[in-house]
Amino acid sequence: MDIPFWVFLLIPVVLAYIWYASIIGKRNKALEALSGVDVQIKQRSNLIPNILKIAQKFMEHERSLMEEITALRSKVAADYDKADKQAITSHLQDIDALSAKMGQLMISVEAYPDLKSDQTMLQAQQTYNEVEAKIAASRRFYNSSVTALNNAIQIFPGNIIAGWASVTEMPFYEADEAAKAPVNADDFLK
Amino acid sequence: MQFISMLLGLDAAKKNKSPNGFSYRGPSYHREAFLSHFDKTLRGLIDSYEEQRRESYLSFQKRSRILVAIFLACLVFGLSLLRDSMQDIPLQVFFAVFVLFGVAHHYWASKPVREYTSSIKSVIFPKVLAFYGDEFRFSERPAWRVSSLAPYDLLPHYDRSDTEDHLQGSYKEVPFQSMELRLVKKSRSSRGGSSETTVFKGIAIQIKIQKAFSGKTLVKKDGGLLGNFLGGKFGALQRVSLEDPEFEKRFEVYSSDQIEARYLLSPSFMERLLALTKVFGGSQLECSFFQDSLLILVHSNKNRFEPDSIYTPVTFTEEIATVMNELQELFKIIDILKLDQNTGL
Repeated sequence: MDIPFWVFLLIPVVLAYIWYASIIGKRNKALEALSGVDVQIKQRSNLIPNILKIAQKFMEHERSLMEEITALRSKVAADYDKADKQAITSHLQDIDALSAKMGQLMISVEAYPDLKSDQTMLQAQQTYNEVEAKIAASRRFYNSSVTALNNAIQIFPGNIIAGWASVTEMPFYEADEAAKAPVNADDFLK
Repeated sequence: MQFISMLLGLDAAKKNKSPNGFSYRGPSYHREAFLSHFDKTLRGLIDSYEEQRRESYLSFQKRSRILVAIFLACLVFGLSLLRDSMQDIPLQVFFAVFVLFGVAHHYWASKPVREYTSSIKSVIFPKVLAFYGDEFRFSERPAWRVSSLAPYDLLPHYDRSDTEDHLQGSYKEVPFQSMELRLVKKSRSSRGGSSETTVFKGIAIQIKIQKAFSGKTLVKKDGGLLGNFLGGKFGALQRVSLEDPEFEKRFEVYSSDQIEARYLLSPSFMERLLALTKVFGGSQLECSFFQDSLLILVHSNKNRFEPDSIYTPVTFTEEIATVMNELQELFKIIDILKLDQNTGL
């Protein structure tokens, strides 16, 4: 039995479509994961004013740190273009910067015994830790989705199909530079 | 061998032998406190239980002898009667006689042994558990229904379930319960015959956690490439790929909430879950996080919570060690997985 010629033409078209559908599915999953990060960030943003309000009563000397946190919070809450790699990278960096400043604030709390033992502050810290754990989880989901997407569009013929479909790589949500830097024990043992 | 010695009356255990005395084999840090608890609640029961054991033993011996005598008489009578037509008797008839003997032995001759065992479980085990607190309960017949485990999506398809040895308690304010569970699937062959296959045997452990989960997360045993493809359909649950290669090699994770799954299965929790498999001697574990609890299934052929043999004089050494060591395993789950901590897992 002769196989019609159009069948041979159809096979690569079907394969290309399956690959295309898989790339689009992976991109949507990565975008969903990015939204997941934003949902957790929103939860933390809602928590920050309460923490600052409690901290303000006791931490007059940390005013500049609190102002930085407020500014970063507004920056993180601002809209950004999810199709733009640069915009996503910058958004993720702002999230990290806010995390670092909040971490700094939480460490500073230790120096204020009244604040440290304040019941509402304790509760806020506990909720904050919970949200931080969820942010870490959403970050892992995002990075895992981005790995799947980037692999799919870097491997041939995914790179060609991605070029046709205008799907580009997405940036990883990496730990901030401060967190990656080696810890100098002398700073803590003075 | 012990059975033959018992039939012939050669077993030393039937004699009126005084117990050798109790020796503590539980965790060393409970030693002093438990010995005091033992003196108060259990030591006084040794003599009466030894008496009960001896009576059960003698009754078991008598019934076994009667049964063996009937069996031998039937065999001799049957063989002499059918001496000439031996070759015409199908092999299935001999097989059926042996099965009949086995059934009679199980249901009639062993009844005194079962009653003695049941008495140990219903009286002695709860007294051992009382050492840990009033909230600890033990029952041979579980009130915990297998159907209540269905929402966890962890049980394989089954037609019949057998349960026993239900334990309830709490450790570091974390309530838990466990029971031995066997699930059986019935199938029909093309010839019309039916057969039963055990699809799960082991223990089910439910631990209440101090937080409610918004989704459902399953940690199933890895079934290999084909097994995961064929068996990995859990309705609305999606596969979750995690970073730990060792964990990925042993487990497959499915969840309705990708972020919550990663929140629960943090890198340290994955390590702890792997460590937990060592507590159960490398047995396969599966678990499900749903609503406010964690259900763990441990695949195991071991029969837990069994009293010492009827052939051994009563000292409660084995019974106490069994209960305490089983309980230690449950405590270790809570300790290793840090389920008592309110934040994170």
